[in-house]
Amino acid sequence: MNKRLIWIALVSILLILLSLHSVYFHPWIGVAECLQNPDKYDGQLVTHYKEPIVGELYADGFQLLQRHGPSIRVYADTAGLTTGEYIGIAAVFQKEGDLKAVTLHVAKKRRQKIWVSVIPVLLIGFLLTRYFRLNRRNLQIELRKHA
Amino acid sequence: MPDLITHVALSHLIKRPFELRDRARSKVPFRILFYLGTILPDILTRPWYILFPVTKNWTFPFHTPFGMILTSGLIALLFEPSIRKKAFTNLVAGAGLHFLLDALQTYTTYSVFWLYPFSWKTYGYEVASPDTIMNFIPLWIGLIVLLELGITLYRKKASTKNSNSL
Repeated sequence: MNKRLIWIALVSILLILLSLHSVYFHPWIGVAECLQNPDKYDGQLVTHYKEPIVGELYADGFQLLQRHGPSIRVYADTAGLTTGEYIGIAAVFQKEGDLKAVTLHVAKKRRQKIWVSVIPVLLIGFLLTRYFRLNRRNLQIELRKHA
Repeated sequence: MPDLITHVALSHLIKRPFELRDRARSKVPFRILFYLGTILPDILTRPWYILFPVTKNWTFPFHTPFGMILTSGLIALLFEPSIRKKAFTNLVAGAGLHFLLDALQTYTTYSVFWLYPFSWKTYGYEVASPDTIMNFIPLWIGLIVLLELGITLYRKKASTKNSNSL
């Protein structure tokens, strides 16, 4: 077998192992885990959310919505918060089924940041196809002749 | 993470002066691979977990230095042998710059996992928030224009000097 293919297979296996390691041994706790086992996670810091957004606002906090995951009540200072904004949050889980914010950051420009980031991706994609080409005979990327 | 325009603009501002004396077009493709390295940690992770948040832990290693060394190696293996080493070096250097910039921004939870998979500790310098960094995009673009103008003038002057001495 081709030596290059062996290397590709080896590195791919290593990357898959890294992903598995991250999935099964990560140290962070998510909202869903806490809600499933409130007594176990009481008083623990929750740092992992799935696209957290501010939902309904209350005098002493807000409802935290996740795009893929359960929502949860958060006790926090709501000054400067608006419904629908993306946030970064670290909060302590309480067995009553809510969170108490430790640090809270409003990611005001998150949407712009995502859209602005598309431009360099397209540009680099274009430049790559301009300077490199795939040789279909040996399945290797090579420089174009003019490059 | 800072936005990708900031990543690419700063990589250009850092890499380009090294090509000041050398006009060789052959350097351009590798500069593009350097740019690719600077955006790779984000494009291999962010779009996936924004669209499919369940993939967040699966893609996490691609936003770590060790994961990026392996990924750069994998990508470099797709290139023909004569340019493989250069491709790998530029991809890794670009990714390294990416993590350095990421370490400069403020985080609510975690900064850069420099030592993953050997440690889950994160290290960062927390200089500015991503929102603040975005305000500097016009400055980066202005600096790139100035740099390119400077390089063009320098080369013009150098070629006039050479033709006069002949």
